[in-house]
Amino acid sequence: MSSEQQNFTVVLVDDHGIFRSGLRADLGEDLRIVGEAGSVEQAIEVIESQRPDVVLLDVHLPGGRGGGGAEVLRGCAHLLGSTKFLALSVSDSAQDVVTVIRAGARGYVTKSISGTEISDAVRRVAGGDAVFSPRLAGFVLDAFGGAKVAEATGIDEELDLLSDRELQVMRLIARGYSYKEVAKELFISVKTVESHVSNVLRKLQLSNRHELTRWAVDRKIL
Amino acid sequence: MERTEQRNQIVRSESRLIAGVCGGLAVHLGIPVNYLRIGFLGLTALGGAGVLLYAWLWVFTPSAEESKAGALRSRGTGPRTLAEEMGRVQQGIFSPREMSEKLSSWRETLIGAALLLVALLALGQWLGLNIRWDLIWPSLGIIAGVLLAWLQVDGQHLDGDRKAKALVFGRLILGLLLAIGGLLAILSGSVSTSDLLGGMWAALAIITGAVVVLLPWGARLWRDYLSERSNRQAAAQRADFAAHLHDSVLQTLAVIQKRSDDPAAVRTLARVQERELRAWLYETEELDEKDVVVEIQAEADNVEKLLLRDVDVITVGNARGFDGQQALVAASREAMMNAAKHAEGTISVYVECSEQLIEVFIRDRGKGFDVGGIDKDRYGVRESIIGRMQRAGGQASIRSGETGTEVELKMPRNSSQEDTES
Repeated sequence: MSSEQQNFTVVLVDDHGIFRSGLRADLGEDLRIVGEAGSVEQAIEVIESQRPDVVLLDVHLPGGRGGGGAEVLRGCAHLLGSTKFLALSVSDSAQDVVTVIRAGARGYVTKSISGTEISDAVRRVAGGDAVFSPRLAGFVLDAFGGAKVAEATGIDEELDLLSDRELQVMRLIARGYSYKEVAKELFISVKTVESHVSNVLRKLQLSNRHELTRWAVDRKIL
Repeated sequence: MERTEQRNQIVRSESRLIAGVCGGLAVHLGIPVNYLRIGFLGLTALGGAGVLLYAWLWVFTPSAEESKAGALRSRGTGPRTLAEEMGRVQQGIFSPREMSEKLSSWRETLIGAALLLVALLALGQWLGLNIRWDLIWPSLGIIAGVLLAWLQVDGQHLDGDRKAKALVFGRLILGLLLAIGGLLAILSGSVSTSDLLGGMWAALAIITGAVVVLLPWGARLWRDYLSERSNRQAAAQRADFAAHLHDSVLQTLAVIQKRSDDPAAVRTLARVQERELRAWLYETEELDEKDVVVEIQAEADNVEKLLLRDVDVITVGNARGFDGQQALVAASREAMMNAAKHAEGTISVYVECSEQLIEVFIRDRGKGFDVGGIDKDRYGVRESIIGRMQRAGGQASIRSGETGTEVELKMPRNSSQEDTES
């Protein structure tokens, strides 16, 4: 995954100074921190000027119109092609996850994650892949998985359904398997796992699937 | 009966015959309450002075509830423990528990006294005394009306629901009508009807004038009262928050400081606390507590607390009331306990409820063990996981390798009394 040891630039966005300094100490040496921000406005400004590879974005941020991390994503929407966003939150609350992912984040990790894990996640996101936590996988299965598909009308086959393989990958991630373990379990390469996960992320971002909408409305997300 | 108030101010007692004046005075002066009551009765016999004094004290001393609420307000934001704050709010605002009981008991006494009085008067008349019923009936009406109206002041029903308010209002108006009617009846004896009517118009004009002049003041007082009340509610809410944080977060932080040499325990403590606080702050989704998903989550919380290990529970869908639910939850618990005891790292639990099947996966990151060798030495695994699942009509399988062990539990969902929720 990151064997080429490419140096990536990172901007930290979090309103807690203590957490930022901890993160700075934790991140791998190949990840260069080029800016920090503690509010929505600052974040947009720093990201505009620095154009980093990856932004580590706290979901709950003060400032702006109260939209937090999702508002930063919307403010930087034109940069989404070059700058990747990895969302951070104090926990895996469904609301937080979905809001930032639908706004364009490439992945989601909890703040309790270890230094090596978060460095790996940053590299993976910088490399164009998606980072799924077990909780996010669980949500995807909840929204896309169980429901019967046959009778559904107006479903965009490409966007609104997960392939069997994607479902398998999601289930294993939800069970706590790493990408490597998933690959081993399914006898496929890690690269293939990554591409499945990226596909799922895209569907999660773009699908207007009925269940997804209802799920979101139930949880007052939309 | 003698409730000690650590205060020098006269406060009308909560245990009352009429309005608690005697009780309050007894506490204040340190004299048995019955002596005071007899004293008041004696004064009443001497030309009614007792009644006047009683009424005067009634009007000008606060009741115990009012005084508590007042103390609550005036103590402001001085430093005090949170538990104390919580306690104060509860006793101060939500206390009138025995009120209705007391009210009904003294009401009976009052009715008895009134009947006795009427009987005495009747006896007097029978004995030939010249009793002027045309004055006594209206007086009784006035007294009854006044009592009825005044008693509503202590009722404190104003905070209650609309029905209780209407009741208070109705009684107030009834009392007013009784008193006015009585006065008019007495007056009609000495004043001619036309004069009375003219006087009434004059009185009406005066009252109207007074109301117009005083209305803004009244409105302002009312507004002040309302804002005061909402302040109090906000304070109560804040105290509630403070108390919760004290009981949970502060306690946990104290434990964390004590155990700072054990990083794993600190981490888990922080995690358990976080989950608890989050549930308290944001819990909106109300799942049935008998749901298998909720039950397994609860077991996971227990394992976290008991063995101070991280247990991640991911759930998809939900189900309840299927036949093997109990066995499934118990087996899941056993698997989590095993993982927590024998392996390191985070324990991942995944629960998926599909339409035919409930599946639970419990995965740890330990060194693994020889699954074939569990027959003899791992009685717990064989009996409480595999055996239990099979007896309940399900299946259990265990895969173990160098990167960890995974227990897979499957329970069919084919019960007759099942409620499907998907």
